[in-house]
Amino acid sequence: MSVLAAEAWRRLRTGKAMGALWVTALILAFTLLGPLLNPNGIEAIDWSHVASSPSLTGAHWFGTDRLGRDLFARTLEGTRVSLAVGLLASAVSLVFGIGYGAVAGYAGGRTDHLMMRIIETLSGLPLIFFVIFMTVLFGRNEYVLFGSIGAVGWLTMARIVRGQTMSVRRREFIEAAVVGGARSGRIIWRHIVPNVIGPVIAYATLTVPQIIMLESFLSFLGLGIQEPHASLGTLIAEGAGEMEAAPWMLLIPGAFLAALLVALNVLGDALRDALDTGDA
Amino acid sequence: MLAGAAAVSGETPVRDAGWLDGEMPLLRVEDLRVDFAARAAVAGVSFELNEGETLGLVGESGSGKSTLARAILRLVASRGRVWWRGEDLARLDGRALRRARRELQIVFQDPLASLDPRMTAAESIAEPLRLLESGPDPAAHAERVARMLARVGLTDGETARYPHQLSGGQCQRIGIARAMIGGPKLLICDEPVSSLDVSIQGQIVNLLLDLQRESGTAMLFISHNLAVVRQVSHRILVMYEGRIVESGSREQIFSAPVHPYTRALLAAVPSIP
Amino acid sequence: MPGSAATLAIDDLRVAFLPRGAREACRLVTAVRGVSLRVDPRECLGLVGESGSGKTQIFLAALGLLPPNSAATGRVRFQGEDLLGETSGRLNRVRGSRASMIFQDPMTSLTPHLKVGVQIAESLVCHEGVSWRDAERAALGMLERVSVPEAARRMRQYPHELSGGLRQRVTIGMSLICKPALLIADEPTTALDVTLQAQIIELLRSMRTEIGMSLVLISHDLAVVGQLAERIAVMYGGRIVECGPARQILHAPRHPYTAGLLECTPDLTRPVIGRMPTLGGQPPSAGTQIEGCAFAPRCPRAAERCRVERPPLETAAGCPESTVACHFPLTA
Repeated sequence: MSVLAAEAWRRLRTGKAMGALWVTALILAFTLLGPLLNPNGIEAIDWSHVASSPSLTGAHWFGTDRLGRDLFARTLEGTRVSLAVGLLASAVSLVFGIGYGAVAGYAGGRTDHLMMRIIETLSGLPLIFFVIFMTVLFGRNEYVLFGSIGAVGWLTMARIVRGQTMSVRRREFIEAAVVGGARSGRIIWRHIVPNVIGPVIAYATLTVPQIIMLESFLSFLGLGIQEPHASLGTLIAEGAGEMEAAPWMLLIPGAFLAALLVALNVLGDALRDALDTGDA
Repeated sequence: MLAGAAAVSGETPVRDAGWLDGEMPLLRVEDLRVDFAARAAVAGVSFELNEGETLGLVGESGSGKSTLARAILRLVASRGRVWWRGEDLARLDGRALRRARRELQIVFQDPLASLDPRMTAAESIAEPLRLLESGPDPAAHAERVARMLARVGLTDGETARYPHQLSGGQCQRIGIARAMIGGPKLLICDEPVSSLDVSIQGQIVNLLLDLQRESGTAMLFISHNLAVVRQVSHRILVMYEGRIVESGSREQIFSAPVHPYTRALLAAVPSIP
Repeated sequence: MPGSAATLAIDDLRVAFLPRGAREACRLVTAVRGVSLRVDPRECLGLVGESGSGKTQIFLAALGLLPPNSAATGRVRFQGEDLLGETSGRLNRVRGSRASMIFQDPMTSLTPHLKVGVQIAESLVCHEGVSWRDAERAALGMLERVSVPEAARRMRQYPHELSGGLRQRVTIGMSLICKPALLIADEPTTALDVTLQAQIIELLRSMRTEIGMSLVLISHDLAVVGQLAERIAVMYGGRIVECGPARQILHAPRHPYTAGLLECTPDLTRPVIGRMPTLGGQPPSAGTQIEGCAFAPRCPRAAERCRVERPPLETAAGCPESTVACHFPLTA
């Protein structure tokens, strides 16, 4: 894999992806290292500065919110949470999606038919209703949020993996493996998964921003992350309420979200190109 | 093998008694039929193939010759009987079928498509060995793979490469090595040289012939190239629209063809004017 | 006939590709390394070479059909007009009307969602401003001339409904509808069975005399090219190594590669020896740095000189019409 990985890396390095990679890395580093630079906690209330505007010379670089909480600390926390939700839910959907999709695509026939009908039934469920239902059942916490987003996210992933699998399955090297005496499980693991992983990883990268959006949307509606914790979605929701009095409360987390989404989308596109070995 | 045969019971015998008497050919195909979307791709084909023999199968694209090969290997669903060393292939369970398949190998037409793009040459060849032996001995495997790679004429530098970094001829050598490493009894070559350059075709055909001579493997050599089939085959089957229209020894087919289709086929081969 | 205007004159053509993802010029892959060729009016030139020898790239470059990651230098004159570096607008007036090209796979050169009749008529409408009605009538006539049975019914069919042989007939009809001065046939029979191959060669032969066009027949198979060509050029490693009248190339080759290729060409008249004649080694892949003669590593006659000094393409001794690029050419 190393030679192939090196080739993919070479293709990635020459493209526009490096900019996106740098932006993502910078945001990541910022969210992890930022708290060390800033003494303010996410819950600490500064009564002397309520809804103060951003100033790089003052105590609150990004200003404070209506309760006097430091917006720098809260934005970093929000970005960290949003990224974590995005990555975790994508990872969950990746694992489930590959397993389910590869089996359905390789088995074909009646098994495939049944497995895909299950997927269709599940994707018929309205997401909001599903999340509310889960929240009622398990109470409000992040894990329910991760779980329910992941549970929905893998459906599309499974469809993509199935489609890729079906095109790989028709190639002759799969027949060669069958003739060589390999069992189906081994064929899926050794021959199918490595050959579908490229486009799937690329799609997964595109799933991260989708899930961040979804999480922000749910948090905006009050179904996601709860106070005093923050995600980009809750911050934007708060900021939207103060748009006229304190525009920075909306603009700063909004800018972080926009930068993250653009960078991840560009990265996903570039990965899809780079991981294509061009041999098919 | 006898134990496996006894375990299955039915109205027709699983094992053909002739095999025990040494009268049974290596492969016997009886009235094999394959239907694709209401059209018969293979419309009742019967033939026998003996140990160490090379049987040429010629016909045009769409005549069903590749489908026939896949039906013998049970890669496509078929009707009729395929007797492999006296056992009915259609009645073997998963385990016995996998065992039989190791003795029945295939080399495909498109050398690039027949190799896993994510495996190096050496990995592709080692793959069947891993399945073959239950107790893996890495050192012995590596040595066998290295010997096979050298045998088919790949250099050390090429063994660590991926298919897309190699030429069609080199990829076909890997395909042949992968098929031969388990010591098969029958090698089905499905148009093994038709996608290669003229100057490479001869190298690959001679490699197949040398390997066959060393191991005594029987061959079913499928090709539309009559000049190649003529050099390698003992007997020849001519296939047209899913049926065998003529069969005979090489000499008979090439010097005294009977069926009009065989004659047309022979007349169409271009030669240097 | 030197002096008279050639239909197509290619002078020192070089074609290079920049592989995907590579930015530096040092990674350039050279496919054609300086080729000069002439096709006279009404002549059939055969171009023989293995995959990767650059034989197709020459004509893709000449007609401006190269992909964007490539570049061509040199000079291509078609009926006195320079083609290389021309805008696609001007090239479009030449392509498809005065010079046509057909490819190996007839399925991929036909648009799947258009009826065959429409596809043939289209170029008449585009190039000659004929009405659709007249163009379709002409298309029907053309299908009959390329021996498509039940032409009227085939006109209304889609490419996937036709067999491979019929599809190639359709692409030939399509490329000939504007009566081009030059047809480039790139491996037109390679994807077809032997019986169809013979028919397509016959069709090209009769259409050539009927229209009076020049024909370039590109193939890896000397036997196929030998059926039609009056002159044959042999390519190896991006260069022409031998060029001359078909009879001389096929019966008294001067270059060891041509001789080796002839030896390997399958033939039913040879005795059965249970082995195939071969040419050892492998052709160089495009982009390999070649010092000296590209064929030297596979050549039985190669000496030290061949490995360091590239032989120029010169008039062959005792054969004024032929050129050969070899330090130690075979003699007749």
